[in-house]
Amino acid sequence: MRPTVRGLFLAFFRIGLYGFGGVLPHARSVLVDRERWLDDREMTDILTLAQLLPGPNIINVSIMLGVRFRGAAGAAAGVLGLLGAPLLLILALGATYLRFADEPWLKGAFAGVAAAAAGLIIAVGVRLAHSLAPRPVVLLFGATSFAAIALAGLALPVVVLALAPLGVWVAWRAER
Amino acid sequence: MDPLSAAATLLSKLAVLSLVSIGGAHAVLPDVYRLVVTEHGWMTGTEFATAVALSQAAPGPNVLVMALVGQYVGGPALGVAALVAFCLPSSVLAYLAARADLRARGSRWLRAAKDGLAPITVGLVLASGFILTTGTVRSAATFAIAIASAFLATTTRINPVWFIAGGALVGALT
Repeated sequence: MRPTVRGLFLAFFRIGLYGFGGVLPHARSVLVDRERWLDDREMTDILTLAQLLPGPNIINVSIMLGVRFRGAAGAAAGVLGLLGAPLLLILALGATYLRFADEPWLKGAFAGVAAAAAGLIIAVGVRLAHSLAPRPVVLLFGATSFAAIALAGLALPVVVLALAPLGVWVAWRAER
Repeated sequence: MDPLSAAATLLSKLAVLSLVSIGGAHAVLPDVYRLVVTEHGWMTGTEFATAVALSQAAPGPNVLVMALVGQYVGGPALGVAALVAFCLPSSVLAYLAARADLRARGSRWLRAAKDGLAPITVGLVLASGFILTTGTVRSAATFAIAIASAFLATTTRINPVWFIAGGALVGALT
């Protein structure tokens, strides 16, 4: 059944609030299992496209799904549902942090929190790396984009505009 | 720098990064870090990584880190504006793609795009991890916390919130 604008808002509201430590798994369970707006294969198609486009994947999913079912109003409802409540919550958390950031007895705790978050981002990258086939061209592009940002200190727009067309061209040639 | 030009600098940078953010918010963290920590000193490396931690631990997508960075630089209004600046350009592209009824299924171009971009995205996310780690690790204890959370989050399915809580505890005790 085609969802209403209100239905889209509520579904993405639910996805946003479930999303402790990553939102995408919850998106599948709400959109496919609970609401039955999509089957598994349609969800995978939308996710693939959402990951190819720039921008946060889940926001791209909410926009593409909103447009498909209810046009611009559906897209707006999806994004507002997804971000509204978590935005207010994170600003409240941020204000609390700013209030206590300079307390000497909390300095150590915040240093530990920051280090844990840095490690978590490394883990996200390592998990993503595991999902790729370890072919030389994959390693070459991965290592080049890492080195360009982390070691050479190049700006992201330069790196993406240089590497992305090259990477897609090489993959296109390899598929024939 | 006066507050208005600081806000304009941050928002215009985020709007540009939005259009090249393959891999989402994680991929652009090094560029945001360089702007707000290295170039302008609006935040320390630890404050920046704490903002990343809060956005991971709180409900909602990780892109909310942009709201925290904006809030830190110029208050809650700039927080909301920073999130909009980072999300709007890419959202317009997603809207146009959906309008054009672009489908991922069966197209050789889309398959090539996926295979070609995936390794670049991985490199960008690992570069983010590297920059955040070098910006936050200042002692043996914080080094151990970063390594432990990277290792355990790679090899187990434990909710990341626990690593952040554990980091706070170990950091407070050392």
